[in-house]
Amino acid sequence: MSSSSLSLPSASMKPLEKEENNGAVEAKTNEETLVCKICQTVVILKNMTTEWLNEERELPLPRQKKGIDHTQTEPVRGYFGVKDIFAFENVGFTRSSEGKRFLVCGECEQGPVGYVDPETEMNYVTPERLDVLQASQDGKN
Amino acid sequence: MAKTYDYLFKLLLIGDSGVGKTCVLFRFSDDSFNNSFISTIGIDFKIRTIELDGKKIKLQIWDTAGQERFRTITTAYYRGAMGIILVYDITNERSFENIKNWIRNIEEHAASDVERMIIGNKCDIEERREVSRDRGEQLAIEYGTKFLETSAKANLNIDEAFFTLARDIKSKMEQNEMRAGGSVSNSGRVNVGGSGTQKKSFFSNWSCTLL
Repeated sequence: MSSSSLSLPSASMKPLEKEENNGAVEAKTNEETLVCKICQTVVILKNMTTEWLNEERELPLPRQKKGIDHTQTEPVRGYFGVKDIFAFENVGFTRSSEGKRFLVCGECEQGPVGYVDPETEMNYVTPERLDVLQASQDGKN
Repeated sequence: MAKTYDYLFKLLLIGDSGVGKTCVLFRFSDDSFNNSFISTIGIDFKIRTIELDGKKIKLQIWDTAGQERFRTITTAYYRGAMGIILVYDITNERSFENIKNWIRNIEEHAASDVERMIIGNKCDIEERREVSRDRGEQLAIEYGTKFLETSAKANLNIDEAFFTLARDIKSKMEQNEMRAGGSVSNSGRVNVGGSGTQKKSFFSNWSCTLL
């Protein structure tokens, strides 16, 4: 793993995109405006995030079964990251639960749609839990 | 990254516990599921974006849930607040009487020029009303604040409350800017007409969860 194969010419032929376990964070912005799946409120406008985290994280399920004493979660892969909280149009930040804070729709509170990294304070929002704003809606606030 | 908004206002919601949080998240409740995760841990603050007179305004709105006893809320909490929405429940006399205590708390701990507004929230049915609209208005007059009754269920006046407060803060800031900047080309009056064009409720689900 530590061999410096990157310096070899042959290494550059590798399709790096498929190496999902390494270098999971890349500089990349969201090319589309993301809206709440439930109420369609804009959570973040396009081109506001600064990185893409191509990893799985456990997120609490939006709907929890009643009568269960633990939080049900599921692995969700892929998050856009942004440091500035005011990059968001409409978002809610939860209080801390077991050291983690989550992001929810700022209108209807559906979510979590992402989380806050407790160490870096980067805000990660996942397109898996949001919809893309359709072209016909674009330009509306 | 370039700044994508014109103003950023920090607003606080304060008031007794239970002035609205009892009727959380109707739209998610059904027989086998609920949104217990979010409603249990609670929401610390929200960022909402509105437009007023062509200016884009970010509102950062903080809820006091979990620390509703006014004695526990001191200077640190109020720091930087530009607007405060005082909320009582019209079906709860005590929450109304406590507004005076909350105002005293604000006067002790918050900036003296903070914009204030009183809201009588109706999370329950009209027949259980304990505080008349008139008394709410009188209280607002007494303290020199604006007043609105809101209803989460009917989605009534919630947006207006936030817009009103944001507009008041914006006007004050612009006046201050003009004073500081000296040359003023217009009359100094701010056009406050714009919010009627909002198609959609910005805050429709708020009064239950945050107020």
